[in-house]
Amino acid sequence: MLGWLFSAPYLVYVAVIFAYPLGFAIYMSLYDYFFTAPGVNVVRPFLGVRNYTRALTDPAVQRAFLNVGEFLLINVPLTVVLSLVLATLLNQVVHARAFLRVSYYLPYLTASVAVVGVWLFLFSGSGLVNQLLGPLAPNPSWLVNERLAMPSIALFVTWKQLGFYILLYLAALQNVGKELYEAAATDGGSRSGT
Amino acid sequence: MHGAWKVLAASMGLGLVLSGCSGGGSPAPANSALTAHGPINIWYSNNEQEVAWGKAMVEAWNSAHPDEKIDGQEIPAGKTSEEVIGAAITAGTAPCLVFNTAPSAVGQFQRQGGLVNLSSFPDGASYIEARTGAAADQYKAEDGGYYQLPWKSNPVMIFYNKDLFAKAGLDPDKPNLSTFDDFLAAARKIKSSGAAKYAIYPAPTSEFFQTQFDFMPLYAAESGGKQIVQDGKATFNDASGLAVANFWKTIYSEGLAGKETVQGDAFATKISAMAIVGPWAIASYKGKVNWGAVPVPTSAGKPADQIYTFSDAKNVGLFTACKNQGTAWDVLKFATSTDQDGKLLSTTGQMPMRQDLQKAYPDFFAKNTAYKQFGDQAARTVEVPGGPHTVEVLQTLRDAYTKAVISGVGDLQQALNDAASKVENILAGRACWAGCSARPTWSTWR
Repeated sequence: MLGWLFSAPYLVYVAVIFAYPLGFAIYMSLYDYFFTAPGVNVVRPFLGVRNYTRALTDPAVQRAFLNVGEFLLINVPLTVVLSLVLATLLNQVVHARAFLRVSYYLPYLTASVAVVGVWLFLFSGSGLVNQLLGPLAPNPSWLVNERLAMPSIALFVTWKQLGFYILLYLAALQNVGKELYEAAATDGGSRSGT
Repeated sequence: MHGAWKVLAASMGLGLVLSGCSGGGSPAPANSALTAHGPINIWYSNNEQEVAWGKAMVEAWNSAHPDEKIDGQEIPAGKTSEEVIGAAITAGTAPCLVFNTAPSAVGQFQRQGGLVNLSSFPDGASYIEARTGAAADQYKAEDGGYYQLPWKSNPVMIFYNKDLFAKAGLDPDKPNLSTFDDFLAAARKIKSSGAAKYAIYPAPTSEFFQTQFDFMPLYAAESGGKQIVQDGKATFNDASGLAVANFWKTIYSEGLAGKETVQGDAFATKISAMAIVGPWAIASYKGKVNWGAVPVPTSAGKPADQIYTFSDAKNVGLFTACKNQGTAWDVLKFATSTDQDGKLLSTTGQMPMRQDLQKAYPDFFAKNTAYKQFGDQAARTVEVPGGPHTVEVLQTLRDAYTKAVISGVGDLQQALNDAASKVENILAGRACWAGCSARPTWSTWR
């Protein structure tokens, strides 16, 4: 009984904030549901799983899934590889170590709205990148190009978050004891191997 | 542990059960609120000019009606006004009147049971029809009632920068922009002369309402005043629609308009030499652009007095959450009286939707000649199709337009035909289930 009493506040919290809305959301998904003014009763026909069928067969939804897939395909490997390589290099660098670490971390800390402004300046039709590319600039430009828009966004997000992942790898690398590097070198491990 | 899970499961079940109780039945019957009098609250738009008008109107009413005072405020901040109003309807906290109700949202608000049918008042329909004339018909719901009072319009025209036109070697006083060919020739000259980076810059984004500021005005003009949907059938895939879509496609394919979102107002910042907008924008161009305005072009170059355009109207809704609807109706009539409409016109430059607009305010139009053509154009405006599916219909057209016109992908006629077919399915309820709900995507609507 006492146990119930102690756990009641949390249970009530979870039931009200989490479970009830979840149950209600499931209910809504099975009906032709829309919100009305209080006291107004309307017919909300039961649809079963037809809302789900409709959503999953909607070309716009399918495109959205593809877009997410495309984003992940570019963003995840690029983030993993780049942050590992850069963290390893940063771990070895002797001079200007703090400056370099801060430089990589800065985009992560900067407000997205400001950074997006910079990238728009770089990648817009008349932006710096296209000016440098001259006749090689894509048409339509990066951000309105069917093929290039998503890779551009994935690249931006990779750059923006790279500092955070570098920091994680760096922390892990710094936990590797010096004796392990020495042992590897003694066993004939190359510089890149260790 | 098992006990805890049971509590959670019961809560979820409760959600299902409680929500199941609200189905079935019919709209709540009219009540005594219709005749009730007392204090009311109203929301008005948040732009500087309309706030000034709103405050003055409230003050004028309050000084004469101490027992039925108005508490006026700007529409609360949200992603969009419509999202805020929709949420307020659901919560039962909607104000009595909103002086900025978009006609495209009215069908949805009506479906939510949030709006009072103004025809329920003894003089409701007659007042609206006497003030607005035949144009009021476009705002009538399927059941024949008025769930909005047609308030003010911003007939969309082509604004042009006289200085940039002169720089491009075009006549700034009599620009030849009446036909599609003339317009394109002028646009090419603006671009090739370097007078401006782009000739015109309609928003190239995919929000449903952007259709109202590129395709719809020209379609209204080209078709002689047709709505994009009539009697449940899409009309925009006819010869007029194809001509308009081809015109814009040429504009985009030749780089005469930008395809990227521009930060700020392209016309005010002289990125483009023309804009397609209503008279509300005049105040924002003051001191920045030496502008002129002409009607939107057509393929054959119709005379100005035969040109129709999109209304860009904002109306007034009276909400069911209002306890003193009798007072709200009186305020609505007061706020749209000849006197208050005149004040609205002189304060905001927007056109009250009165059938006798120019005759009612001869002094204003004599003193402000720049507004005269808007006053004239206000007599020939076309509205978005009514009903709960307006947003879905406009979004379907916009999606096709974005792909086929702005991006230039695929066959134009086929794209319009496909969109027309989808629109007719939506209107017939075939694209949705049983009762069919048009769920608006307010999140991007500003």
